[in-house]
Amino acid sequence: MAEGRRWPSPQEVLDKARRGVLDDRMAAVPPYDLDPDEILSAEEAAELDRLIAEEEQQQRP
Amino acid sequence: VAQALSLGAGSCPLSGNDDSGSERGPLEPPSGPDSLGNSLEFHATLRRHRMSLATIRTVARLGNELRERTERAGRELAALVEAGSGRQIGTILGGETTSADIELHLDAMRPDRPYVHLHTHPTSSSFSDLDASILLTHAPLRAIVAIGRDGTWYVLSKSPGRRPASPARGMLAYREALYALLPKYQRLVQSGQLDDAAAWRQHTHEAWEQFAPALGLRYDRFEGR
Repeated sequence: MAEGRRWPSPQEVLDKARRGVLDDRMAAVPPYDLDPDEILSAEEAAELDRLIAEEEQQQRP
Repeated sequence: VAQALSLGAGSCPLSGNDDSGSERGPLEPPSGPDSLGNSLEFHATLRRHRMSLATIRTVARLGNELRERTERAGRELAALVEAGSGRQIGTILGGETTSADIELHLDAMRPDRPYVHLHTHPTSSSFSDLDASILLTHAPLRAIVAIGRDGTWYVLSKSPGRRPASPARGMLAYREALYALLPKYQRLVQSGQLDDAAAWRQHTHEAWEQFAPALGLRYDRFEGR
């Protein structure tokens, strides 16, 4: 996790899901005094859009 | 590092059933969570998540045990159940305060069988995006159950006949919903109507209620004690 950041990035979460690591740090850190970008920044949304497009491309016959 | 606790594989001597919901036999009240006080409602809802009677009994028993141990030990615990037979697979895995390595459970799953995974949430909030990503990443997982330390149960499962969303799509939907609801819950916290923890429990629950169906998932919550 990036220094100073209290929520893991979406990519970090997806990596942990593949490895089978439950980590509820987010559940332990309610976001009411966080920078809202820790939930989802524009850059992270764009990265997720790219991953979704890749996955959908792979699913096409 | 995950630590195996004392419950061993096959410790629940339940007879196997298929998971078609077609068990026959005397209708007896299922052994639902004691803390809910309404085990028939618990039973009916888990049936809607396509769990057999044997599976529901194991899930109820294990869920209660995980919660009690989490309350005593203050750390997250996890267990795996085969959804068809209701057999517990492997041991209960224990992690740190808010994390647990469940690789042993995932490695034990056969690709041709459905499973239900249970873990505790010491903070009693609903599913995180990591929980959902684990469900969406590992095909044999049919459902995940989170049991809050306060006795609240959360259930998330793949809907029959629908292709579940990809992990990335699930992640995006979750974080977008949290982001959209953030001003509402910030106001409730700032006005003193809810403390951080209560707001977060309701915030995560409302997010899941909103977008789970669009991801091909079914979501339910049971209020605890």
